[in-house]
Amino acid sequence: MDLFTAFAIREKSRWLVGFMLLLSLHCQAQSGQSVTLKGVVTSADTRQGIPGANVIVKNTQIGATTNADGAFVLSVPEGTHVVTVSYIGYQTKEVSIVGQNNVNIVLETDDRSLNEVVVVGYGTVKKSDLTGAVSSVKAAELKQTPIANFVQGLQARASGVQVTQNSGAPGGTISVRIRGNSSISGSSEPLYVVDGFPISGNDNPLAGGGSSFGTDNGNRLSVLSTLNPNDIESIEVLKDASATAIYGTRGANGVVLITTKRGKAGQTRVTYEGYYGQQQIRRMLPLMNATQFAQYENEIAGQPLYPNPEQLGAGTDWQSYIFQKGGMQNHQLSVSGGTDKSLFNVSLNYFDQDGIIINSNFKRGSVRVNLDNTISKNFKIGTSLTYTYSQNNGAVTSTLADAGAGGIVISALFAPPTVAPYDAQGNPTIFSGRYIDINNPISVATNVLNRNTTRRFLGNIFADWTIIDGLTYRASFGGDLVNDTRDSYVNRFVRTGAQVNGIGGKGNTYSNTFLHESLLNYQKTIGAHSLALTGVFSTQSQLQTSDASSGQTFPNDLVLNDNLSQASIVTISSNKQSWRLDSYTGRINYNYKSKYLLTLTGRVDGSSRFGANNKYGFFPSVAGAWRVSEEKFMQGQQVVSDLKLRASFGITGNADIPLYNSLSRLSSVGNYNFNNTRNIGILAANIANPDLRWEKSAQTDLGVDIGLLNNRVQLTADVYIKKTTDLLLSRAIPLSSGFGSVFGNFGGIENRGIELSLNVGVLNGPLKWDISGNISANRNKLTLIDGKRTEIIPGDGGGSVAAFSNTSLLRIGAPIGSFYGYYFDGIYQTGDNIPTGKTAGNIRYRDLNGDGVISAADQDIIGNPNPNYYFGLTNNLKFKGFDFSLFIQGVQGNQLFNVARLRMESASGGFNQYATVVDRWTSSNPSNRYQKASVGQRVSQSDFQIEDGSFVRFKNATLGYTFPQIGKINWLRNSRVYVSANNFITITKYTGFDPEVNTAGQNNLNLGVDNIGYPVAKSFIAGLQLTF
Amino acid sequence: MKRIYQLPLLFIALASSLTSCQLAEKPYSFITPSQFYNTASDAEAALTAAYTPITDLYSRVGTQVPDYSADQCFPRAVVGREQLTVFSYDATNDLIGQYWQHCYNGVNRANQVIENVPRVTMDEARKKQILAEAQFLRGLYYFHLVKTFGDVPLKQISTKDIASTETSKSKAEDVYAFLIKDLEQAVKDLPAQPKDRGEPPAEPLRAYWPRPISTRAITPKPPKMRSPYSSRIGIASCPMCWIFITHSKKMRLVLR
Repeated sequence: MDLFTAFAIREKSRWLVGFMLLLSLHCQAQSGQSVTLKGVVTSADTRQGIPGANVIVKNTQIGATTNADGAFVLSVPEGTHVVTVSYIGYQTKEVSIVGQNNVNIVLETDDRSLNEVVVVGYGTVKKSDLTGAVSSVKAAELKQTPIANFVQGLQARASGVQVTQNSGAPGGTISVRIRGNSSISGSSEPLYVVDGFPISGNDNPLAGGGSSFGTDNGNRLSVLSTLNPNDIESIEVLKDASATAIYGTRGANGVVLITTKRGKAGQTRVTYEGYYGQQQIRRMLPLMNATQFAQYENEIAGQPLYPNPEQLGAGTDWQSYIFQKGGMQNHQLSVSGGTDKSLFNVSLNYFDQDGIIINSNFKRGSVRVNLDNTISKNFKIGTSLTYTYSQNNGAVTSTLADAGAGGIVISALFAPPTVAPYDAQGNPTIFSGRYIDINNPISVATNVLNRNTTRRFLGNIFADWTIIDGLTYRASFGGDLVNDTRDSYVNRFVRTGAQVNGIGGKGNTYSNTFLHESLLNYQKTIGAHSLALTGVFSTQSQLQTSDASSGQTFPNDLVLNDNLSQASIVTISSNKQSWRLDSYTGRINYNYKSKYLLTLTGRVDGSSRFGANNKYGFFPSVAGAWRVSEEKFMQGQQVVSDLKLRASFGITGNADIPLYNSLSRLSSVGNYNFNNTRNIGILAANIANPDLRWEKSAQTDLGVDIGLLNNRVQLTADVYIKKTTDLLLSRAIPLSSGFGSVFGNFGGIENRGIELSLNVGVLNGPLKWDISGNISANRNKLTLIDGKRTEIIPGDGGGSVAAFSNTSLLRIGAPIGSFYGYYFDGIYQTGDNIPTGKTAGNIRYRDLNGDGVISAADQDIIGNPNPNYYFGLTNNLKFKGFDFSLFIQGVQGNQLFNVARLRMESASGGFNQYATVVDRWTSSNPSNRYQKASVGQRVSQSDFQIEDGSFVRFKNATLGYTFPQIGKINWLRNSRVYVSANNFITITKYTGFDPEVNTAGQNNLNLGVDNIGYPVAKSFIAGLQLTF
Repeated sequence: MKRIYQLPLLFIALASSLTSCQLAEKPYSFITPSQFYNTASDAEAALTAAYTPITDLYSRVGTQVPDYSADQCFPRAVVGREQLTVFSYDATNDLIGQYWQHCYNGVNRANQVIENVPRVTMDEARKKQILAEAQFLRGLYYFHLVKTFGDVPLKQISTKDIASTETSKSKAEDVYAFLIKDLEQAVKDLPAQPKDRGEPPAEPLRAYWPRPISTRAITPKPPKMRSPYSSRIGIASCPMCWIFITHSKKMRLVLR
């Protein structure tokens, strides 16, 4: 080979090598582009595929989205190590795909995302764009405790929201106060909006009929118990003026927005959830036993009624006969799913709760259908419909007036332990002789029919029309049809029935509410400016009719109230009323780069309840927020991930005032005899007040939202002041007018307070630990009564037992509900300077004005039922498949008026007493606390019966286990079992049944009154959740 | 573009026009004054309502206040009764308060009749009688008030709104003038003998009404009453006796 040829060959081979290299490179490149990655993205808690999740090669634009089953196929460049998987509501995850072509990615839910969407009035907003004070409670939190009523699930979950269970009866009355008491004659309960339909939170207008035994306020059912809590997806509580002004004349007490579960696109999912458990009473009260009672009765009578008290021993423990371990169960079956065009969620629920008092029970069955249908590109329709049927057999726990009218628990406290519970024939003993006026509690529990049946249909249908890009119109029509029926009968074994030979009745209430809303929404983003405009027209009207019939004096008790024509005295009544509300609302939401936010709302409301001169009211609000964390100077640091400052001011109203008060009403009053025949006189019973209008609240709120360490720590703090004016009150007018008082907008209240809520993700490794808590403090003050009076004291405030309903007064400068009475100053001892009319052993009250006489002038404010602060604290832990959570609730600084002690420590003879009366004053036992036994004496209301009602309650502890995917069993996607203890520890100094009580029911003036109602129970349940 | 905006706006405008008048409250279970005073039975019922304060008055305080203030008895010290005999009471005394309240209830109800019954379609003769009875009642109530309290508010029309509840007191002479006018008017239309027991008779009124009173000469003192406790048999005729006594020639000398 010559040199030239060798060179040529070398060149050629270079080219060849080069070409081959190129070729191989090319081949390699081709094979690099064609690495296919497959996989499934599932959710950690539901184990279901997540459709629409993004799988993106990190730092590139190469990505794919998952299909309806959560599966994806993605071509990734060779050498790719990491893909980023994300989906709204879930924590973004980076997954290594080295050496893998098929990956299963599990995403954890992200509860701390600021992109989370929050429901506000007439729309939704991203959490980061929120300018008002809104608290969110998720379904999982709501359902953690076994509840009949979803409001119970709100307790201690949101700052600024104080929930008090007035009665422990299943489905019983509950009071909710958002930022304090803002009304006296109107309602202080917030507005509840279920899927856009506003409903009232006031207790069920119970149908009447029959004896009133068992129908007082403390006994009522909460109307919200008729809604199934298991259907709820989330609850948002709107607290400040900016969030609530959009509800105008109904927003002054706060608004609770309830959103029910809707279908999600993807595979059809069938879920079963159920639990079973038992409730029992926390504690029974210590009473005198038979020996002590006999000795006491002997002392009262001055003669040996009971010759040998020592031999009687313990006697009958009446409380053990009326309290029981009540079972409760709940079953929920739901089917949900759909395509991207059609979504559905259908659920069925059965709930059954036996109370802790025998023969009391609440049952509810409900069905829900939520549909969403996309008809065309611009048109969507949907429905939210639910029907519930519930039946309540209510225990009669009427308040302590006189012994004869006593309900079950009172009768158990009064009943003499010296008498056997059943007679020789096995029937409940009828008390006789000295004890004839006391009911046998077993008899009241088993011989009184007190049933309410409620049928409710709540639903709406809506249509969304996208007119042009950014402009949508929604029309919705809804109805809430509630029918409540009452059956009542008291037979001859109970005093009320024995006096008239049976009294019974039937009643019906029909309450039909209709709503129409037209909503226009326009959204436009121009560069860094983002604008959202909303306009709403809404009209709601309600018609309520009721009828009731009562009969008394029946020939026998056999047919109960099913044939009232057998009664010899029959009374019938009927009533009809209606109201209407028309509103026009507008809202402007503006933000600049999501950094500077501004919200303006205005609402015009017209209500039929307002007088002719004030039919329409205008309610504006303004709110601004500054997301400091988006500023340039905040970028770069790692500590503060979110910082938002908020301020809002607005005016809202309370239209929940009594109906027809602006009109002059004619009624029959008195009669006069002409020719010995009675003629009825008819005249105007009140002066018309055409100026009657809503109660107005002006509220200022300042808030800050802080997120630290990538939102691992989230803190929200709000401070507010709410001034309510034009409160409805009765003002005394000169009698020369021919009338005594006039009802109008006269008073004023002020509420101010602080709320804090905190969420911390302490650990996020294999052991996850989250803490969330909230604490709130509110101070309430009455600022104005009617321009003339500075206080209104209860009618018979100091004196007799009959004054139980008048435990509190209204005084300018003092909080609403302040207790009123004497100051207890010990017992007169022998040798003391005892005034005439009293003897040693009687109670001494402090003579405040030093005039030597104990009279109404010596009464003053003796207590405050409003708490200093209340809080809730939750710890959630997850490890492998186990989950544990502990939920603690506390209320501190409130006082309770233990009114029951007025009778149960009166030592007046004829009925049993608390065990403390064993220590009563006698000449050999000079007690300084409990007065001596003396026939028929009365005890006046004083601070002796005011007790500290503070408590800390371990409300729920749940331990659950989620089973791992069992091999080939594909039809069972998820299963979890759990056990939980509820209200299992209560730390309190209160001596009554339970510190969470208000026997006055939903009441503005009388708070914290314990007149022996239905005690709150503790329970233990076990439950199961299955997803197919 | 425009058309698209028009539709929802039109809807809103239409809806609001339909609803604006519907916010007036519609009572179903009671009636308002605009629905009353239409028939004869309405008028009778309204008149009966004007009579009922007489029962309220005479069942207790109407006789207690004058009796206890006189010297014939000294009552037990309950609800302030003993204060009347020794004149130690103030505005908080229950009996005085009720006396005042019943009389003014009567005045207001009589006013309501006098204002509203004229527009009722009914037998004109009976209507005149009803109005006369109401005027008599008004005069009677004012007589009770002026003789017991002296200067009192003179309400000539019924109370219809909050603003008119405050009325300052008028001089006793003016009250007397007003009530005498009422009684003189009533005398003209009342039947000679009452149709029913319980109505005032005109004849005694007419017969013993000599001339208008010279109010300056009279310092009213509560005179004794005859048979004050019978509320069934023409109670009204008893106070008539007072006026009879007061205005008869003979007694004027006594009262000076």
